[in-house]
Amino acid sequence: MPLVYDELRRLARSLLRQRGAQHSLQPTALVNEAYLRLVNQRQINWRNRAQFFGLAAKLMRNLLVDHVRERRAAKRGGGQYNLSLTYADQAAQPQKEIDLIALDEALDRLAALSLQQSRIVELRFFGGLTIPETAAAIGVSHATVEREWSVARAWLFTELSK
Amino acid sequence: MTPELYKQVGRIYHEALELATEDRSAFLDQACGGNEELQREVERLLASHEQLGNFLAEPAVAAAAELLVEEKKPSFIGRLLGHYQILSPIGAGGMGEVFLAQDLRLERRVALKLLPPEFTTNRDRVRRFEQEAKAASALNHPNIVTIHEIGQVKTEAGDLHFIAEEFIEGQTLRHQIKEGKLSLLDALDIAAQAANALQASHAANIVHRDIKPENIMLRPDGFIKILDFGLAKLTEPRAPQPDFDSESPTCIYNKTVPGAILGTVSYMSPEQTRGLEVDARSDLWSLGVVLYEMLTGQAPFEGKTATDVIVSIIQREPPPLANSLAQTPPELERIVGKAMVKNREERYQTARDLAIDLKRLKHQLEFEADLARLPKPAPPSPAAEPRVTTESAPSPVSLPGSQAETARKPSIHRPLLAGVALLVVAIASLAAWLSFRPKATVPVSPPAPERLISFSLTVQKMRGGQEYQAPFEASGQEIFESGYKFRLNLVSPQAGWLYLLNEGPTAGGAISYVMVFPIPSLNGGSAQLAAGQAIQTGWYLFTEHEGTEKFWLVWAAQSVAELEAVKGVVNPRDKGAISDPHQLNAVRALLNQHAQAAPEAVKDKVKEQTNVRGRGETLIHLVELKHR
Repeated sequence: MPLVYDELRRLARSLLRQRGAQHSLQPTALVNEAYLRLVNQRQINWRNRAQFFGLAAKLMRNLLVDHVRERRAAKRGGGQYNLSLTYADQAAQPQKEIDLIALDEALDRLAALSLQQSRIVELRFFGGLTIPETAAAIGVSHATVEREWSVARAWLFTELSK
Repeated sequence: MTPELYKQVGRIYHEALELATEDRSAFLDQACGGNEELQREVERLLASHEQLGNFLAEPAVAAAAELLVEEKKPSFIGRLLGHYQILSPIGAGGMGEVFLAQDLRLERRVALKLLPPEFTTNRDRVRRFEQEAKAASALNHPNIVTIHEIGQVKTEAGDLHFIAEEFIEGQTLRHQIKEGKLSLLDALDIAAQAANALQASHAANIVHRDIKPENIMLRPDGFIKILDFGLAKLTEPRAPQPDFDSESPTCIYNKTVPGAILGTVSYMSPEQTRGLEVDARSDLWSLGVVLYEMLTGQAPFEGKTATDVIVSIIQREPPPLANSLAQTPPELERIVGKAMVKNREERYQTARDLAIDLKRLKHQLEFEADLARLPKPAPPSPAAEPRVTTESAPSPVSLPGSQAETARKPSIHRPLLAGVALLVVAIASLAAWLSFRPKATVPVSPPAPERLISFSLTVQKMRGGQEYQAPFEASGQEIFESGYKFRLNLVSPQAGWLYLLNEGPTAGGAISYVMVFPIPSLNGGSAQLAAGQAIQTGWYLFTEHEGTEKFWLVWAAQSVAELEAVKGVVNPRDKGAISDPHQLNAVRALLNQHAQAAPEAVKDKVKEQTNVRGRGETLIHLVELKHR
């Protein structure tokens, strides 16, 4: 795991560098590149691309969610100064950061309603795949991915706003 | 919900999206065929559709990128070292990392400094360092930090030396210099306090050897504390050289921390850079350098490399203060010059002498400022206008203004009569440092009117994200539970302009401010309040972690330009924080006036509120809400 984690961090750094340089973000390409390097490093024979992306997205999901969970635990034990406020009031509420842990749980609930939608979210959001890539990975049409993705997004949004 | 129903929800949702908004309702009635649950779910999704924005649009790894790089190495946070529980980082310097920690035995907060192993391999040095550090701490001087314990613990990375010392809430002088907040009087006061501390340590034969802005802490109450006595013992190059003319670059130490070299060299005395034995006078040089930097914002000796800086220290004279500080009082130039004489025999010989000169100058300037605050006299007739020359002894001209007024304030006017020349100098230098310090809105003519405003909190307990029990009122002086919601209530018997700012770090970690009042949804976006008009802010949460929420309360007789300028500005990335550097500086300078005329805040136990009162057109008060 540490290897994967380092890779993830390297990736994060290059993303931030890009952002700093005001270039448009190309996270998908970077994510792919990172995975490919991982695969090469580990000398794993993947039966096919879809399986690879599926596993990679799942891995990414676990890593990120665990990471956030650990950090949150560390913070809870610690004192912090100068904390900025979290807005509770809708009128003044700016764009909310996504709570990855809540999203992870909501995604589990979504899987019970539609396995396909949860896989699409996993591939798109955690795996960083584009719509055509996602369609290829699970073997459905672009239109289907687009439609399911849009419903899943709306549903997850309502779940996280509860 | 069943998967089947969810499938229907998705299909109808998608079809409804294709329609114009006004046609959707009729479509839903028909498509859902009276299935209420189905219709409710679809409506819920449609309602959220407008707010989706870029929700999930960016892959998680990009969203989490900041989070991932933030953490550089295995962290000490949360760990137990001996009986110290490490809570949060405070800072890091050439001499290792510093953390806020909880002493579990004595149940108090301490600053825990972890010394890098490369400095603690030589036992003899560690012993000498401990001796000095403890001796300085034992002086029990108000301007010297108190050390609680010096010790070592075993970790998986080997033995780790640590210093547990008094936790000082405040900022380093380095931070204040960067912010550009220091006035001339502040600088003199800080230097005088530092000289006092050195006087005490020198009397005990302890030379600090590393006086620099990073080692001077400023507390909010105005006291300064000097840190790291004895620490230089760990990094000292070697025993003094028998060859006194040696030019060998013995001062280039600390190789393990690139970048730390420059910072350290800048404050070194000429004898120190040459590796000679240093005495108390070396500290006075360093303090002179610090004072120079406080006044001008620039270190007096600069260079691209450590060697360049050293050459400058040994060979060059610093640019006169007057270059960067308009109309420097000549006495100030003399004091700074005398602290930085290259030959230590000609320098200040004792910290006491330096302290006396600093305090004397400070008192003189304060006195002159008081004079300038006196009511302006009526314009004199040309005949009565006093003609003043600076060199001749002034003739006892009577000043404009009635005899009665003179009689009322003899203690102030008598020295004036004795020296009109002084007045001329005073006004000139007053003008000089009024232009030096941030523009004050504090009124000039006494007596200043009193302003009063009261605030209280409405607090809502929360449990598991749900409201729990009825809200209660609080004065704001309590310690609250993290996770609770609160709103602020404010009211004043006077009319005026109210501004509330929340202070906190932005995503980048810099301190900024978010306007809490006025905002468009409250009072029509205006700061102006009628007498007795109560204001209630929206709900805010105490964050999950322990901490302090800081609100700046500005209650003014007139609108405040600096705050009107940022009223409508929001920066969505940082929760609405002020992002424009000019605006941010203007707001900081304004809030900084708080330090000069802090109003008193008294809890009203009967009404469960806090009354803030003070004199002046503008009342600036920092509301600190602690929660855990």
